[in-house]
Amino acid sequence: MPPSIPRGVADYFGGPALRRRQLETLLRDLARTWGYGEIIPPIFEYAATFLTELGAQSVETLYRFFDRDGQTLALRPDLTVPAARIVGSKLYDQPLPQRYFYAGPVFRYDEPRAGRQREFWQAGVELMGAGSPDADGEVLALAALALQRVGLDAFRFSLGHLGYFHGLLAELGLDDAAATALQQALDRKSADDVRGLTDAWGLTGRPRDAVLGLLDLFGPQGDGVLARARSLALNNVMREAVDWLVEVEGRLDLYGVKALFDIDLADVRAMNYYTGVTFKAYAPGIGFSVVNGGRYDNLVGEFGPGMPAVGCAFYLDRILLAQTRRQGPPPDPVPDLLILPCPCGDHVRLAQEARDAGLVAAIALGPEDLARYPRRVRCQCDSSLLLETPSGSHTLPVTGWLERLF
Amino acid sequence: MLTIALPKGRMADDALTWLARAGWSPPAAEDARKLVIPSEDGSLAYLMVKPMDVPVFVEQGAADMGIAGLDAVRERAADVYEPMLLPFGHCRLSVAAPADRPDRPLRLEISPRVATKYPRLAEAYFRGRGISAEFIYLNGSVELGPLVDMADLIVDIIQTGSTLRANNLVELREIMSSQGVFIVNRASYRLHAARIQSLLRALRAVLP
Repeated sequence: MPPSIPRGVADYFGGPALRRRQLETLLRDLARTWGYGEIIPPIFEYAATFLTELGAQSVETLYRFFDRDGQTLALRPDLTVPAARIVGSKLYDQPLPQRYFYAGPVFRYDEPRAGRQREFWQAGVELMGAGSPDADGEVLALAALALQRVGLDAFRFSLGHLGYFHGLLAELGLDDAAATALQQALDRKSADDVRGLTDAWGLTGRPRDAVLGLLDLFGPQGDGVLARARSLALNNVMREAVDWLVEVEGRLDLYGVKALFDIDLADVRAMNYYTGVTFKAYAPGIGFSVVNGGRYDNLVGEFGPGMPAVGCAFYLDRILLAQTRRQGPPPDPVPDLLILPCPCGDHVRLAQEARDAGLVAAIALGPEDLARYPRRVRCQCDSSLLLETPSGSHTLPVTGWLERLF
Repeated sequence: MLTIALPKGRMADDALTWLARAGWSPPAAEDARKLVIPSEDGSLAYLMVKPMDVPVFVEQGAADMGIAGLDAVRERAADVYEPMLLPFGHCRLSVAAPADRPDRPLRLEISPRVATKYPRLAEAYFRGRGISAEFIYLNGSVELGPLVDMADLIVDIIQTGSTLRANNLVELREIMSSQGVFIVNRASYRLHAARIQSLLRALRAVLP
């Protein structure tokens, strides 16, 4: 067999494997304290689940294959769609709202870049059946507090609302191709291209101002961004988007995280399924967003009775990369104690006592590199043991040895 | 400290001229072979890289900002912000062929051999027209391809056309027009928003 693995996947071991699990555990535990229970979707599903009109992915980025019945299956490209499917098809009549957390690998057949392989890990929360600014505020605050808890500092969120752009498009009456051209120009923040389009379309007056002004609707809160957005708004859809963001800001303020958010109403690239607020988080040292999220009020309805929903996904690989840039590579885990075997056999009991006390204890099985272990325990077979530490050796009675250890 | 990637070569001079006009602190005079040069006031670092690599350094976040050709940004399919076009580096990416090529549409070519430094854009262009071309990826002297009968066509940057004429080639089709563009990493745009916005404003104020 070749020793290699396919492009786009990776093996994890030692410190990086430990840190990955710890990050996942931290996020799971935090979400649990906010009332988010875990949802564990399958690794693969019918490809059609991911290819609905609102689906997450274009068909080229799906890992697709056939089962024996000839059904087309696909590895999950994200976990929001499976969560929406589960709620829409199974849990729709359970009390609302429902809060779910998930974590696991997802798969996309595209070019590996910046800490994202073709198999990469996501964790996330989905809040189903709540369509209020309170719900948006909850998910946004949870995301911000999670990044704080993870220990990324100086990260920033950008917060937008797709309703503003959709309202603008409706007012302009652009066809699909023109709307896409505007979306792409805005996504590149290319003022020249946006101006070129308004000229080509012969826009004048307030519609022209609204399009040209979009790229300036970016900045920290309190910078007057939302006031400018309201003065540029052409219709109620746009004004309602601004009002909604003001409401959400208020909720973020209650959580004390408002200062972490910048408004960006020109951030119009988002998954097809988003309908309202959208947000992304960026951390120093990583050129790509580490959290993506938003409101998707139409997705659950693809699979059952419709309901509003909001959620976000953490890109664990990128967060780990940001942590490594800050803190250095994670050290490989080393057992707290190495127990050396002895003729009387008490070494097994010593090891078990240490393990029961929550220590990581390994029994030496042969030639070991003793220097790897910070503490070594040699049973003397006379009701005492020798504890070897970097600062010297001590003889301890076997009875109550653990209490004296630290 | 913010980092800006500049394309080594002709465009770097233009870029530095405009940045200086906008009041950016210029690179401190240092060993010309150095690839990272701090600015005189220490607030910036200039990264001198191959023109085609500028978008990659910026996309990855190794540089917060960069000045690149649009051709390089599109060829590397870099996911960056492009807030400002710049008044230099004008050129076009075109398909060219030997001057004695019979006058007939490209789509009648069965499987032309195309020499290029731009594999992604060249492939997209031919594929978009249903022509299954064979691509020969070169790092320079692309014009040589037809001369030594290694290629039937080339896809390359044309500025004045003099290189083409000197090698007895003619331009057939323009694939894209290009010029200098100021690019910004998507994360840096947010994390250093105030600083980058003020640098951009200063630059915009001096542009024609």
